Amino acid sequence: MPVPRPRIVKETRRPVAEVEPPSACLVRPHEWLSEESRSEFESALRSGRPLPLYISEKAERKIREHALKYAPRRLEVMGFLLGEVSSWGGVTYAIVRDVGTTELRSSSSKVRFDPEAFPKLFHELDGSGFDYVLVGWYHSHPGHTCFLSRTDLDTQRTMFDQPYHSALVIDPINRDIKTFRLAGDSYEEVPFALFPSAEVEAERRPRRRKLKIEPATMG
Amino acid sequence: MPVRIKVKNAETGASVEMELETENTIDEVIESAATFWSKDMGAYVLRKGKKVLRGGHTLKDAGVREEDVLELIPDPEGG
Repeated sequence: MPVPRPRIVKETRRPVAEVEPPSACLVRPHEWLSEESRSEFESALRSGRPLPLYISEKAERKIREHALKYAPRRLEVMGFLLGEVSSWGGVTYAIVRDVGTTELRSSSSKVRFDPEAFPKLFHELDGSGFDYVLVGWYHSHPGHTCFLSRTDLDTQRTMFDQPYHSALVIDPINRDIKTFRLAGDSYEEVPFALFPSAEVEAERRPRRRKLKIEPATMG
Repeated sequence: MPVRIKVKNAETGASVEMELETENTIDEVIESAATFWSKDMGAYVLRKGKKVLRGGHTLKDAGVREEDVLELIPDPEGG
């Protein structure tokens, strides 16, 4: 007798917490932003609305050091952005608190996780110490500037297709960094801000107000 | 004998409870979850703790038991 197919009996969605984003007086632009990207950052900050993405200084440092370590050999690096999705004033935004990566199979134009090194990746995910959501991924373009290639766009469409999912691209040779999201059939750059990990983590805890729970649907 | 497990979606934090047989394969678990969330099953791996579960193995062979929590992890490619 054939084995019956697995049956999904229930879905539970993660609630989106209503939490104020890191305050404007604490956040700052990345030093490697282009003039145009910095202008977008300042404009977004002036609007008073949450930016699409906030990255902790700890996570940013790990990404930058990872990219710089392999830059002399022009090897790409990659990892996950670990964080949470929140909402404030009707605007959904993502916070990156940490990153997770492992050994890679990479060249100057391709990068993947080494399939033998997944246990190390899982160790890093568990070691983050919080109930993370993968709010996106990062990878480097050593010397190629920051954009999404066709391969990158396929990855974004296949795996990171939620409105809050970002792709961070860093070029450690040209000292450039950008974050992107899907936009229709293509993609667009979105502004992001850096925040000091300790201060903001402490600030966010007591300011939680209420949960906006999305109803679970089947199929 | 049917068992019930939980599969988490690392990209959204959502999870599904799945009822299945210990003779079902890991590939069938990935396919069910990926189909439910409209994902390409080939782009994911399934983990239990620090271990990647191999596709052709049955739940029994892979040591998956009642009430285990597995996590669907994307396997991205950058270029």
